[in-house]
Amino acid sequence: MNDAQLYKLPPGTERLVLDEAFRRQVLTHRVQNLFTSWGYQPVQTPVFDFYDLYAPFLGSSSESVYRLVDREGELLVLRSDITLFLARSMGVVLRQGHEPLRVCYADTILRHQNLEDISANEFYQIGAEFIGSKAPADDLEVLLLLDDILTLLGLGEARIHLGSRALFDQVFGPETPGRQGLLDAVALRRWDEVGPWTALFSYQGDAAGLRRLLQTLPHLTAPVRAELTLLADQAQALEALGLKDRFRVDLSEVGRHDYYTGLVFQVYQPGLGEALATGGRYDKLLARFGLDSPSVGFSLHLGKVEHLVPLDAQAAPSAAKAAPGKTLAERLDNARKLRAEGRNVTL
Amino acid sequence: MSEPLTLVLPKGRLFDQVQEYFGARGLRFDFADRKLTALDETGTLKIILVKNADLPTYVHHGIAGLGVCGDDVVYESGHEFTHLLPFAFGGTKMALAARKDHVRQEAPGHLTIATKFTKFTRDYFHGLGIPVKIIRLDGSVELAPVLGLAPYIVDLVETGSTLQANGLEVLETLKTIGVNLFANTSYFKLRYQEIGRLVDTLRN
Repeated sequence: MNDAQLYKLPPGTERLVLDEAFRRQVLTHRVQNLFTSWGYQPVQTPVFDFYDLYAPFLGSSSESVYRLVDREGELLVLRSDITLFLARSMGVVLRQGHEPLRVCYADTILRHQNLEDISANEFYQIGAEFIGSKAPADDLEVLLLLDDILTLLGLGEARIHLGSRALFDQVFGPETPGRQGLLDAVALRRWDEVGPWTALFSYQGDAAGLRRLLQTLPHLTAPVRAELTLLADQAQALEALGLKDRFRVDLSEVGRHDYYTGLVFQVYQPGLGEALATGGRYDKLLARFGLDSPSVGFSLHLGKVEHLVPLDAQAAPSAAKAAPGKTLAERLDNARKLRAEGRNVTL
Repeated sequence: MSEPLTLVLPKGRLFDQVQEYFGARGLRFDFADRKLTALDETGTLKIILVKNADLPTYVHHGIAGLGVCGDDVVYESGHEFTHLLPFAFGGTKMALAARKDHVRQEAPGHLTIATKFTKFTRDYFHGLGIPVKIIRLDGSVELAPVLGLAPYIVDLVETGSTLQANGLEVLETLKTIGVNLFANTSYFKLRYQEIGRLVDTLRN
């Protein structure tokens, strides 16, 4: 046996044991109960699928996916993005003109990460998607669900930044030279590259501020104004629900995935170097997998915050005490009584 | 008053320039003997000193929220950050250099280059469609052509005096390197108002 292999984990994999694994189970269970109470049905996507189906959507992440060849020589990809795998699954299962469908998942993804990024904890995602949903009202449902999850996890300081990919697409049409570079420049706030549009895309604040900004930028085209008004309306609706602290308008949020078409958002949590959750509207994605149905959804890296959520240590199986009693029958009897009281007991 | 913003600065030549620039704008700080952290006099910034090449790692992982260093270091790290402010000081050039008497002997379209900046060099020449063989060195890169390790080097050049002293010359400037203030994106998003005020202070 090779000792070096024994102690090393291949990059892009994760091992959870004992208390850590228990913690994940408990949190997943809590979130799944919440999904159920919101009417979201579970979906499990396959671990691998045909690479060619996903290749057009992978962009720069194509470098980090794991590919393999199956026994018939087909090129496969391991599940690297649940949104894509889900779109493909639902595209096959649903028929055109279906009723709106709310689905949720809790699954692992597999992709290569650089050794030093191993702490990024991006291997376990929970998420929800509202398929056949319409903007803007249904966007709000998904945002409110996300807010509820953050509250459930006790993440009161997490902030959800709202932006619009549609806004970017209206300003920089498909023919714009260097469009991908501009998308990156806006997202990373490299304003020298964005030029005259800086005043627009650099905006961060609330709904009222966004409306004031609209008035100070008279040269905007009607479609651009429409996108901004839509976003201001959505933000205002959330603020009216008493969620002003949770949500912020941030026009530098433009969605780095090419499949986004409308609202985009990211969740930021103090102490985390990267976004905790990412989501948005993707009205054209399912059409690429055979079902023309608009959707909105998000995925959240639960592994990044598991350690922040308080759990009752006594509730863990590792805290189980031995049942009293001299004989097996006595111990079993006592154990049953104690377990009925909610205690964890070994025989 | 909220917690101070955390800023990592590189040890070495850039540090003095940053200290002077910040001090002139009311953000004075000093490091007690051998200490690697300090607060500025206004309590706005907690400053941490790290090795230049490690700086992006600290910011990427959110250990520190803000950082100041050259484009070259950020590029080599491969990480992405929110861009906040370019500085006028500390600018330099990334250049391709060789011995003054060098005669191009390799087959056309193939360069052997010694450099500390392996990612930049590979990406730059591959972008031009030129295959390169890279030899990674950590310092005194000028020695490589002199001793025959590699005919070419890619390195930062300020005045060119080190090249001159070793009988080398710049063949081509590949990129202008600037020094920037940047932020971990998540950190910026959570504290953008305070960071915005800091940037305004530093801009003037």
